[in-house]
Amino acid sequence: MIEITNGFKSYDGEKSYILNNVSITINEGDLIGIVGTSGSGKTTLLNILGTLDKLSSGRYVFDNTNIDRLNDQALTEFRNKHIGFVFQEYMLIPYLSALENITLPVLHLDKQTQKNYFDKANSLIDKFGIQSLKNKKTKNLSGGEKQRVSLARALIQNPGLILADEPTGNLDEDNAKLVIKELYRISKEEKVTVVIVTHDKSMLPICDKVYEIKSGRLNQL
Amino acid sequence: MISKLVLKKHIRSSLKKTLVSYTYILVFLILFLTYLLASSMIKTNKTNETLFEKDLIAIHGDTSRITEYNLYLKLLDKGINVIPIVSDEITLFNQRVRIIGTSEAYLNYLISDKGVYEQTELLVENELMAKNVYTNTQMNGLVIDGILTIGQENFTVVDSLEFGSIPTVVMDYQAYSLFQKDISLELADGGFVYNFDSLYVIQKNASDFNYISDLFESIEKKAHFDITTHDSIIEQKIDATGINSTLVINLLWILGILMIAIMSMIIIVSINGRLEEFKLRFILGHPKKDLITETAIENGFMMSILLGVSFMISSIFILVYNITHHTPLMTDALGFISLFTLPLICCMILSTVISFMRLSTKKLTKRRLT
Repeated sequence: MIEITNGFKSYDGEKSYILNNVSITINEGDLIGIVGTSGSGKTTLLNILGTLDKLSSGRYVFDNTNIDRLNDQALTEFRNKHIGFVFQEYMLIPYLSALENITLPVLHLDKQTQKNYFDKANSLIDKFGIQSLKNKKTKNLSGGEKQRVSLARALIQNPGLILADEPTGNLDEDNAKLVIKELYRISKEEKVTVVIVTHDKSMLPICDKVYEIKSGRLNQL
Repeated sequence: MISKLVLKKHIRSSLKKTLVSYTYILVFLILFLTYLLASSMIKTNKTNETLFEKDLIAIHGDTSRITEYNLYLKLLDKGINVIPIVSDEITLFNQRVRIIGTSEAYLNYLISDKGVYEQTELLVENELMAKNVYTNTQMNGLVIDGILTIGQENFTVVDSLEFGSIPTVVMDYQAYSLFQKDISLELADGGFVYNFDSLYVIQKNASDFNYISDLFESIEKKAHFDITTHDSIIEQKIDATGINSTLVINLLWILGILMIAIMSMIIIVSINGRLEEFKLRFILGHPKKDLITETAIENGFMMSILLGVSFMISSIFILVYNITHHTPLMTDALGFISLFTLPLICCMILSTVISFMRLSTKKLTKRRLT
């Protein structure tokens, strides 16, 4: 379970709050949608959920781990093990193959551990139907293919949470449907919590809960 | 643990691009060294005539020792021109002063006030900083394979030379005969006597002196002794090898600094080019210290290639110079190696510092997720 309680975030010493008394509880396997205009605080909330930033005050607990108490190094390690990321621009390394990109989150680990993850990556490749792309450099892939590689990468370590930032933003309708379907499957079949930040209204019906963030305040729709 | 796969792949993918940019730098380096070589050749041909057409006396060695000091003063008293030679220009400021000053005012001071030895030492140091003087390397440059070449003439060396480690006196026969007593004291202590018409080497054993003495007896004394002003030689700023040593040293320094500047630029561009990748990897959980280490290794590797090729080119340059000039441009191996290792060490430090600065947590997390 992921829980933020009375979360405040300010960058100018409490003069103004980017997040203003935000509280949210997300259960395992939930598919959450977050909408909001530019500058509403979406980025900050996502950064905090992704352990890239910390609350100024309040509490963030992730599966009984108090995130606020972790130092930078511990946060990096925690992020690596428990959180997967999917980006609008895919964020793949162009000179690496699809397989290597999928295993990117574990490439700093020792060889034996890496080997196990390479086996896992191969099974994900099968699951996402991208066997033919396995050894291709990602700079040569289409948008839809890149996003599937990106989804596989997010799942490589069996994370408890996937943060998806506009995952369909750069995709055509068919590929967008495919990605929506995959995210839904991941959430429901693999019991992975998924938080999607989107402007795409077609994604909202599949979400268990939808929140709107407005002037730093989070409201459930 | 750093990601070896990513490092290997990145180096492989960027090697071609990097090598192209290095080629430009190396072409510049080759042109620069060719220019240096060509200009030094021209200077050699031109200056040897003017430099060695006069008879000169040079004192080379530990002039802080009273024998040489007195000898020097006596030579000056007689109006004989003296070229001071330092033991080693590079280590000059780490040593006691071993040279006699060269300016006219200072020479007058020495002659008029011989007794104030300690005071003169300080003055000597100040003089040295401002003056161009012969170094051991340059003196060594006069002797190749047992042959001393001065101007158009070659002279055979009786014994091998060890400039820098043994106190040495260099002078012509006439000057020697004037001050034989003083010199003999020096020789008993070990040293060399040279004549610019003939060259004699005295070994450390005092008995060798007799042998040399016999040789001197057989030499026809010169009737005439030309005096030239040392300042006029200094004004030319041309050393015995025909190349302006100050210019070479300065150019080498400039080259070194230029290399560091270029390499810093390459490091910054290289890190900037991968900044988005590093941000992504940091978000995905790669430890920051691994990213910094990876950057330092990558840049260190690339810089090694650049420096290695530069080293080879410079070695070829020095070899060609030595062959064409019959004089070693740089015999100080440590100096030569440090010329290339220093920039490399600087680059490694620089690379790490830049990596730390460019890959701070704040910068790595500065990314819009939405």
